[in-house]
Amino acid sequence: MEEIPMASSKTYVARRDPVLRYTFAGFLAVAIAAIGWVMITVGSSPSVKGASFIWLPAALQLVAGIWLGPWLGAVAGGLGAYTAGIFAYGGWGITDIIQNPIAGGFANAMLPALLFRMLRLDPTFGCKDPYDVLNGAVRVVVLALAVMAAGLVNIVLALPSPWGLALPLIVLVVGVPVILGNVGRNLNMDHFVLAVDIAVVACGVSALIGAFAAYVGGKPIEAALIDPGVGWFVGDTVSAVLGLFLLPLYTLRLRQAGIAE
Amino acid sequence: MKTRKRGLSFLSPRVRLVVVFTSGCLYIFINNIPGAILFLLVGIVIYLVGENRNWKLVLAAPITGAMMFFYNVIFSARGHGGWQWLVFTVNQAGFERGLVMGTRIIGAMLISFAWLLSTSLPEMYEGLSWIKPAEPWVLTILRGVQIIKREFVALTQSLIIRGLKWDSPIASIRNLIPLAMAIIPRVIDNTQKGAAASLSHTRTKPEGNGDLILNDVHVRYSPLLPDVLTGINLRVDGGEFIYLAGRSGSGKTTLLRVVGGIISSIMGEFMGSVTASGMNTMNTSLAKLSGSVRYISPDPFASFHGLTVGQEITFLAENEISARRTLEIMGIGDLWEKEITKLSGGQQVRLVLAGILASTAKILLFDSPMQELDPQGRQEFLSALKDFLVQNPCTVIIADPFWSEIKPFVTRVVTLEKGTIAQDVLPGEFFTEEMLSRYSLLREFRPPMSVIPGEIIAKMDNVYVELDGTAILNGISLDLREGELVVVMGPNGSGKTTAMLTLAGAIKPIKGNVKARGGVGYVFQNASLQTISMTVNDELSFSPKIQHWDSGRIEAFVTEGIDWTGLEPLSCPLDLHPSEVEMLAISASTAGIQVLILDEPTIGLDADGIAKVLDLVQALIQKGIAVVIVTHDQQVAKTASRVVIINMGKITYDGPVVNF
Repeated sequence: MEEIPMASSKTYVARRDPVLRYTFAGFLAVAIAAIGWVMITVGSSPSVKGASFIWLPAALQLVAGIWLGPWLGAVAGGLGAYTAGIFAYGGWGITDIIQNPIAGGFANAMLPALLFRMLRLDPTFGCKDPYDVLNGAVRVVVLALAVMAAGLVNIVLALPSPWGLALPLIVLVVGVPVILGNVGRNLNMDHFVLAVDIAVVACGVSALIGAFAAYVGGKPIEAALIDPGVGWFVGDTVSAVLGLFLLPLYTLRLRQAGIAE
Repeated sequence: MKTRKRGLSFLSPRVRLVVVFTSGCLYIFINNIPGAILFLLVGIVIYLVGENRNWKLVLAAPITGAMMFFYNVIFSARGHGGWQWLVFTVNQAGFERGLVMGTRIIGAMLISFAWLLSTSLPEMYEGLSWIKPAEPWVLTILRGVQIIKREFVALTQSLIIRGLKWDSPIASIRNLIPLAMAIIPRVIDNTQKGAAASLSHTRTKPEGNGDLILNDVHVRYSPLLPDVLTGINLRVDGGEFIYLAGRSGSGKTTLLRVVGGIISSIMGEFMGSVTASGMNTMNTSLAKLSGSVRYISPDPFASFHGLTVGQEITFLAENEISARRTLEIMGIGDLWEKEITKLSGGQQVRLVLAGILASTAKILLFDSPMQELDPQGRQEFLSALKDFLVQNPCTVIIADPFWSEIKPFVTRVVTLEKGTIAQDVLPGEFFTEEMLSRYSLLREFRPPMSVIPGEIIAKMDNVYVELDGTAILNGISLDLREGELVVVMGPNGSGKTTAMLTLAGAIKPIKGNVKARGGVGYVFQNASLQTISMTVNDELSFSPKIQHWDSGRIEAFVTEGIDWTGLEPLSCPLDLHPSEVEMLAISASTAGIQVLILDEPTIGLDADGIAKVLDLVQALIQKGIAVVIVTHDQQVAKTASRVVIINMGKITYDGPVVNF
């Protein structure tokens, strides 16, 4: 037991028991399992049971990692996802272990936690109103989709290689001031954009793991990358953006409670 | 009579787990039609011979199997010939693959569902607890399931009552977003309570003699919030019985928490020193401290760590004989195997108190222990406490509004005012009219409210309700009229809350009709279960926004609510005192209603708070709103014109208070 030299403290002291963080991880796992159960039941890929296209728990998995740290976050995110699969469709097996606890625990929870720490990002994004994050996140996703759509137009136009990039570039240059607007005034944009990037990368890795699980389950890898891969990536990304909204909403409270790092 | 176990129930929980896990792992290796059909048949047999079947749940299996079959057929592997169009290919190979995959997943799902339906949470614990390093996690998670389920149910009911529609699958998915957002604060809150419960269920030997020394103690819950206790100096000798008095929000709960080590092991921060039974709380883990000092929180459900009554009491008692004896004393000896979640509010309190009686602690800290008990329960508790103190003399500090029943035990009274000790006196000096009034413990007599009942605006007609397979209501019929004040009474566990939640539309009856003209507002017995927002402002504006009020009307409603509650608009409901949460919930529940149901509204409120609530009730009935108060409080009952008694899920009396 840690010894505190003073029998009577002259300053305010808060000495939290580690059980508090473990309990939070356990309860968060249950919340992930409960919401995940519904999402798997209503939004699962028809060919790969358990690969949900509207995986709302990705929001909770992302915040679990950032609040509780990579390892405890991975336990909460992974256990929650595995339990959701078991309850929703009897997902006890090898493919389920890959696509639920491994993708959910390591990609959706642990990876963003590691990247947030590596890049020293502030989970509150310095915002005063958490709804600025939601507003900003939606705008960033809209901008990304607009750039992607501009890139796809070249399939029809078939412009030569360097010119093919012109249209997405124009959309990007015009889109940043038009679509993002005054978001930067309310948020620490450097941290916020990096956080969105991290959410997208984490969901991409998660989708790749999900596709690998489908491959292990007997699906050709090319088909698995499309289904469940693409749907998994899009669904998780939307949910992870919701998770970014939860960060400024609750991080200070969780720090105050001695739960978040 | 014991029913014969069938299906997976016939196997022990561990063997059941092995069966379902093995089938879940092996099914992907079944890659031919005969194997898949055999697996399906096994699944069907295991499911059908089980004791419990849920046809809604099992419907997911054939739907999943059919979709998997269809998808594999229309996306058959190319290169095997067949019919092709755009990205679609249909051939024999795809058909066979679809058949195998669809069939085997139905088999796997049926086996898993049979396990789910045959295995209760305590049995899941039994099945998994043999993995010793994982045992604390298993218990935390399964207890978490019970707690989060309660929160989900309460939040869902709160959202339904406040006007959110759950009338389509799309609406249900959309509603998951506010639900998911609201669940995080609840998870934080329950984490604190759950961690405290977990640590206080560690069996450690008591130390010291029950002395208590507080030296210049200051407490706050956050650097952003004002101090709740300032400069507390208190010395208590072992064996004293102290009554702690003070108005709502004076710091009674915080003082008990800091003595019990909850502050700062679980929440808040403090300055100064607290020595309880010879241990400095700052240097002692909560697990060790709990062996000698037990804090009993006012939320009984959150105080449990076990999944069943037997498991809970076994954590605390020295042996099973002692555990069973204390349950008998508290009148719940026959509930040994019952899951905690299936206990009524009153039974939960009795179990908490049985746990205290089973312990060998040197200091007991009671925070409003009797508020949810019916009169008989209060008598039983005090009688048991008396016996306990004879056998195990210890220090007791108790804060509870039922002072007259506690008075014979009290050796000293400490009062708090605005976070400091105001009085430290003998009982004879405190239990006087002047002092009781000063600490809001003496309630003014209120005559029955004058009501002029109008037309019927809500009606329950021969309503039957079952929860988790247990019949709770057995044919309730009740009419409510405009501007009427009805008090609903009855013993703990009689079905009062279920009846009123059914009237509010949060529970669907299995038989009978419920009709209400206009909105029905509901304030839960534990109001903190129904708050869903992070600020007082948002909490007040939630229902009006759902009801699509215009912004001016919303603003007026919020301003009125803030004036009435006296709360800061941007303060967080999680930071509020329980009595403030109660006030906030009452205010937020009055948006656009014709009926208001208040479930035990006097719990946690002092005399001033109760008077304020009753003034509001008077104002509402004058506006033609029907108000129903569920209560054990006789004084509140006397303010009504009509009383309804519910017992064993039936109305046994419905008539004027004067005849009651």
